[in-house]
Amino acid sequence: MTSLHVTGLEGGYTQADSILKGVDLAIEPGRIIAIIGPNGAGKSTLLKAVAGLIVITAGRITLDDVDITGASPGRVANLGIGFVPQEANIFGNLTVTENLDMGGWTAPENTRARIAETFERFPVLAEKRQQQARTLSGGQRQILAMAIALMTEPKLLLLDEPSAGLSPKAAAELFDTVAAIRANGVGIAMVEQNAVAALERADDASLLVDGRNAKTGSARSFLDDPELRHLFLGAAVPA
Amino acid sequence: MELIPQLLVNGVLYGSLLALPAIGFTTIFAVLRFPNFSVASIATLGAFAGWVANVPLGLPILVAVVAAFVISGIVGVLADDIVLRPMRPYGALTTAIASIALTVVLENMIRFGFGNDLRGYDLPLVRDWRFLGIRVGPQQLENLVLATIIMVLLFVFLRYGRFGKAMRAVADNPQLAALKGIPSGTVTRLAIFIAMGLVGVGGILQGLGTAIDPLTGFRFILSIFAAAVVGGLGSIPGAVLGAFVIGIGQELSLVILDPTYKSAVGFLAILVVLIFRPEGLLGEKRQ
Repeated sequence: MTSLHVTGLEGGYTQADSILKGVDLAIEPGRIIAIIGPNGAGKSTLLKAVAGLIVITAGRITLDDVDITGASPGRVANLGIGFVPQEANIFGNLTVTENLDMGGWTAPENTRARIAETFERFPVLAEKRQQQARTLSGGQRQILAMAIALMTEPKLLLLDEPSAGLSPKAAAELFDTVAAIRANGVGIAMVEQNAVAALERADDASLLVDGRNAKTGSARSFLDDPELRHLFLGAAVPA
Repeated sequence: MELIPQLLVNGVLYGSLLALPAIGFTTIFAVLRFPNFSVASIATLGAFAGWVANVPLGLPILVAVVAAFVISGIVGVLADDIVLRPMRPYGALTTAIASIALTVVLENMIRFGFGNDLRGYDLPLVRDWRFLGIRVGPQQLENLVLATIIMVLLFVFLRYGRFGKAMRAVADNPQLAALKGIPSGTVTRLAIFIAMGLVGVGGILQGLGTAIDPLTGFRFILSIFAAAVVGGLGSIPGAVLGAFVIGIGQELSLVILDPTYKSAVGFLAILVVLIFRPEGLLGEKRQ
């Protein structure tokens, strides 16, 4: 069981950028943490920082007490952290099977078996296995993106706006998939525009505002907070 | 009456010679997103590497082709590491201009080493074959077969090889490739090695039919560029299609044009494609 801790993280897209201004985050095994907040709060940047795509100027990221601050994206992937970006999260010109093959690059000995398992788990991908990924629908692409990330059996999964652009039905199916992954003991951090849907599926939550943690606690406590409901969650929140 | 079929056959044969360097050019564009004009001098280098293997060293032509591939690939990778890679942070245009400077330097290094004289390969003199009134040189047919075999091998590598698929993945989405732990530096160097190797083979095949000098590659850079643009920059099947379109187009133009103006077909093709289908015949529309 693997957990990840982010402490006092500062950084941005360049050395001069300061999008993250001292963020803390904990991803625990078998739990989903929803990261919510207004646009520009640094939610996606935080996930990218953990994935090794951002310049970190201060703070620490530890994976089971191993310091991985500033590690390259390849090393982060090798250590068992899967990242699903919001956009450009598939290889559009490769077939579905080839996408999965590339997803398993760091564990080639298991790739064939993992692809077979993936097709069992996601029959929609099995049906399209020889199709170019760019021909898939939005929902199918997101499923493929997640399946690519799961190819190396990650211990932790970072999901950046997984339901963006999906129909309500496709989004609900995707959240079910996320819940099933959690049930296997994988810790998940999920940035989600649909904050209510994310909080309803999450165990923990963190509110980011202007690159800082404004509130951290259980997902239920977020849903029950009248002020948060008013500011960030809209009116249609179940009581 | 036999003129048009003869020109068509000539076009197909020329297209097959053009296809290999066009694949090289478009592969580099697919992976690194800039037009690398140093393919002109790398083609010349391949022709001379093959000549050294064939004439002074007395090795068979097939070995000379392998030598052209290997030497061109190695020089292509080294030139990229030393000259072009430091330029890439400054943008595609700067890197493309640097590649023009690089091709001039390489061409003059070849000139310094080998002089300006025309050189021919050690090939037996053979009579052209005639089929239904159409004349074909045995060497041209051998070149066509060799180019076809190389293209099939490349297809198999890109479709089924682990590093071939990784090359396509890096070309498609470099950031995701990095996130998946694909070693993009190694894959990029491999792509450059194969691409420049193919350009070098294109150079020697071009020379086998005629003779070579330090401007061998420079003479067909426009056709290579036109083939890649017509097919769709970054598309390997497009480069092959574009090569045959340009090859056949240039030969058919002889019906109405003086041979001096044959290369204008390349310019015209680029112009027409950029106006009516900027992404090329098999290229993707960019958002």
